[in-house]
Amino acid sequence: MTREEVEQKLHEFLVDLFEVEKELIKPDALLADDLDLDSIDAVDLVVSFQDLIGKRVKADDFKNVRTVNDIVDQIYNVVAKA
Amino acid sequence: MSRKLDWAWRLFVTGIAFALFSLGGLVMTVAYFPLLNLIVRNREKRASVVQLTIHRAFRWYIWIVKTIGVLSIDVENAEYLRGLKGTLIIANHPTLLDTVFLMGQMDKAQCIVKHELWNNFFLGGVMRAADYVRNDQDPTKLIDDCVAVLERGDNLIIFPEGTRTRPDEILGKLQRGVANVALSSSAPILPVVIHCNHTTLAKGEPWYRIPPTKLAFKIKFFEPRQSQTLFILDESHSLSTRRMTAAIRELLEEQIVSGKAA
Repeated sequence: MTREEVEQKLHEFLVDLFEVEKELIKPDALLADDLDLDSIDAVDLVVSFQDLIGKRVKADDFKNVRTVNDIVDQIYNVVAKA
Repeated sequence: MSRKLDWAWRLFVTGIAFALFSLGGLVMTVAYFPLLNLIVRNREKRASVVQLTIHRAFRWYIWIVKTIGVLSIDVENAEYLRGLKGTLIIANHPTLLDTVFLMGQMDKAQCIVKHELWNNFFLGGVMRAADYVRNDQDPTKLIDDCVAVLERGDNLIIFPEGTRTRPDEILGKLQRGVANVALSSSAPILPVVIHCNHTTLAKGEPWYRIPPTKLAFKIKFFEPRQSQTLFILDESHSLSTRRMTAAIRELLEEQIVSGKAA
């Protein structure tokens, strides 16, 4: 999976599972303030990615995640770590 | 002149009401609970004694503030509370006293308390002894704690707004935590709508800025309903919580608006 693919998948999740409006999704959009995600959503999102990539994603790595870009970075880190 | 006198009297008794609340909490913290700690060693048993004490203390408190003329309170449909067990009680949150009224009505009710109160000089000891649910835990743990309370048969009061309703709003933005708790448990939901004729006691108002006329509260309870009947379950958890939150909002909003019109 490339970084772009992770990004695209994230957009898909946000729109389909979290009812985020497409136009709001920007790399520096704040998850809580701009996209109305809460901490349980973050857990759900991590689970969705885990199912997709078949690897465990540590919730701890998401403690400091604040923006859309942060998520892409964290997920891509896990994907790239072969 | 009599208006001025009325105002001065209400200012005086309002001051007493606030002082009484803090002092009551302090006395419980420094005297009653330490004693209870020595007598009742079992933590769970102790918590239930404490919760019953708080229920009674709130009942008395409400009786006192009613009697000295701080406020009036009109409760409708309290019969829904009789024998109530393991139910999720959801309410709007217009004032500082909402919790006191609700806990005063129910003898087995738990609530979620903001973590700042745990270290509050006056009320900290009460919170710790009653073993209420703390809100600063890991979010999944918070949900699990709430579900555990309900499954134990206690009722759980949640204000879905997570904070007091702003005076200019019917109902603030709802947090989705309630929906998460309802989805993870099979607890029925009992809606409560609280109405107050003044916006005093809203967030950020000092106690001495009292309203022009006596405070009048209306509390209306509604028949408990199964949460599954409120919305259509989606296979995705995140969508289900959104559906359910919207359904809860509709439920409360409808009653608040119709109550205002009445």
